[in-house]
Amino acid sequence: MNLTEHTLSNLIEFYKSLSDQPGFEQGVFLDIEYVDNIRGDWPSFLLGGEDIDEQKMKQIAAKMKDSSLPAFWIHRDGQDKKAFDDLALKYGIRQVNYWRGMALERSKPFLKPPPYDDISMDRVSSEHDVKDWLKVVNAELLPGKLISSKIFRNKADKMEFDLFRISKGKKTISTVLFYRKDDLAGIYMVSTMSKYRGKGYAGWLLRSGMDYLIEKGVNKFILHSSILGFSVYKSIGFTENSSFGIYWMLGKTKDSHG
Amino acid sequence: MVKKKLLEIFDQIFPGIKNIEDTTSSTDIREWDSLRHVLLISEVEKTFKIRFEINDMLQMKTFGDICKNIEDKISQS
Repeated sequence: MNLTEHTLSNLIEFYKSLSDQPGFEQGVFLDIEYVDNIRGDWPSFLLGGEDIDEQKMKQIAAKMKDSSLPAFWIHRDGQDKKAFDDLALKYGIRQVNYWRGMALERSKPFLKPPPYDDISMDRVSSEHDVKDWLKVVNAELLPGKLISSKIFRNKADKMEFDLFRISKGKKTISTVLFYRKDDLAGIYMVSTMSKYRGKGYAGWLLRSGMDYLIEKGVNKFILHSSILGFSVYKSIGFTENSSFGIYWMLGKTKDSHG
Repeated sequence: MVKKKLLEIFDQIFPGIKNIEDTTSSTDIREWDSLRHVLLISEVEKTFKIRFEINDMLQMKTFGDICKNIEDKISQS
């Protein structure tokens, strides 16, 4: 599997791993995997899917509408994105955001000093620290979608999950999560409190977290960048290998379930 | 004409919100979250028979931005 394929597969494995606990559903519809947080907002996604023709789109849309599939769909752009978008829109599914899939192969640590001397970094594992870590993620990354700390309670000390944060005094100000599979790690939940952005914290946290994983034998990294993070990731050396659309069945929310 | 129709769409998506100006943004209307923004733009597209790209949609932040983008799209078509 090449890095472009890993950029999709690690994403799917990450969400499946997070939702591998009570209160979630996982499955496959046609060739599309999905995870669904039954009582909460996140994560609830259709993940991937290729060669979507009109018949498939119609079936997917019907299941999104009757709530038997999640209302959000993370789909890697194919060769004819416009045709996919037009078909999706015909059945009420609209692109609401996009990510750029990026990757970096690196086996040498960065060993960069912190940008300021009044911050510290640590690996988060206790329940109390995970709650603090999630406060920043919830406030800065997914406004309106409150991620329950229960989702991460049993994950933070698992081998494949590494959660890091930057603190200023006792305050958590920046976060990152690595989801590890063999010698490859996906990077998720990169967030910095808005008043601390633009100071180089996120880039340093990312490099320091990557150094930790490089020491553990990881030498490939992938991530999915929103428009905000692209320049930071590029400056670290990540290159774009794919793009992803985030689609939504218009008007469908957990509250509007029939 | 565009402004009048857009105000009607705002009233449909954000009922009861008054005093909408060109500078009105999501910080002024509590209900204007990212999903309502998509519904708003979808309604604009239906009404004016235009289509915005995802980047256009994400960059429109105020009532005035949306108005200007509609006028640009109409003039291009």
